Amino acid sequence: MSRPRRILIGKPGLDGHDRGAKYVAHILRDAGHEVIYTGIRRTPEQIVHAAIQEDVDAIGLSVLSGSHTTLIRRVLELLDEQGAGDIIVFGGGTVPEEDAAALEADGVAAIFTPGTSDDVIIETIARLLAGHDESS
Amino acid sequence: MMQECSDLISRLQAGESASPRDAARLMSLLADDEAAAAQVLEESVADAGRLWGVTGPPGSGKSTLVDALIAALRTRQASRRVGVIAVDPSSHHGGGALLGDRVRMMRHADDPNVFIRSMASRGHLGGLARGARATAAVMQMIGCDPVMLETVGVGQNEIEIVDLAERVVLVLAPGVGDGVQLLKSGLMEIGDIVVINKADQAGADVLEQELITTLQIQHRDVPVASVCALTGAGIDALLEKIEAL
Repeated sequence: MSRPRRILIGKPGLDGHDRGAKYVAHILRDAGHEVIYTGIRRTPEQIVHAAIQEDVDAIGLSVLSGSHTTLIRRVLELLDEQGAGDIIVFGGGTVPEEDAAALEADGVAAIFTPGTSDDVIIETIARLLAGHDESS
Repeated sequence: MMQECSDLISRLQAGESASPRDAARLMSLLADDEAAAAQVLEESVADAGRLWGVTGPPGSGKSTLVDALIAALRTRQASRRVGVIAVDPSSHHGGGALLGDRVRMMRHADDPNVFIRSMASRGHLGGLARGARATAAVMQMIGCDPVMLETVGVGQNEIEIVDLAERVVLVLAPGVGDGVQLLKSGLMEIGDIVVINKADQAGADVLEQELITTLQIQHRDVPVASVCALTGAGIDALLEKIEAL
């Protein structure tokens, strides 16, 4: 049995719709991960600062305000600045397909939109973490 | 693994080139490798800084109290670096954990002089996590003083914190049980200071009376402090009492 993996789930920006973030935190916990939940209305700076101190393998960002592109890109930028570009970033929320594709081109590992099943999320994260191990 | 640990340790001890990421990485390596952790602890300097334990039942307000103490410590001394280790339980099914103590402390998330690390108990009983001691040692290595170690929400017998911390703050809140609960609880055998949190809520005065009676029956001379961690009321006085212990 390998060690539990550490994943931060956070909500950057100003929307308070935290049900999705909490739900994903819960299913990832049940899948055997250690999930650090940082709550709503955080800045990208606060999220990256916490992710580094917690030495997480991945960061999941939930945004339902429409400002996903700006906020998620800012997290990617800050991680690069801190030399932490190896941390996997995934996202979730009301993200239109074309925005999701653009974010994925920027380096976001996956975007989960409403209706995605638990199994797809858990399997995708497991695959990303496994790929991460091979590359490091 | 050992090589990576010693590289990180030399970088951290050299000071200037040390990044928070190095410290965080070392904490993970030591949490996963008990042999490496044991060696680090053996070599770590005794008296490297103060280690305070914060313990109490679930919902008594431990994380909020720690948050208030960070604020008070940082206000008093801008150059002071403070460390916090917050332990939450791992699931018995599957070993996962939801670590949520940090949510109460997010106002310090922009402060480079506050290092907060969440840990899962990983099946370890006693209220702490495997590797908590090593994590504290790494925090001391980067100059955190004090390091506050918050246990999982404890019941009657998870009192391992006394072996680790030089000072233990026991946090109680109204509504968690009557005087008989206090008398039989192993928790009441510990604590260098007892804090009644949520002192603005109904029942706090009754709890204080029962607590004082219990301490008298036990022939324990322990200071009691009433605070409201959420508003910060009583926190400065509490900090002075802790430091005077």
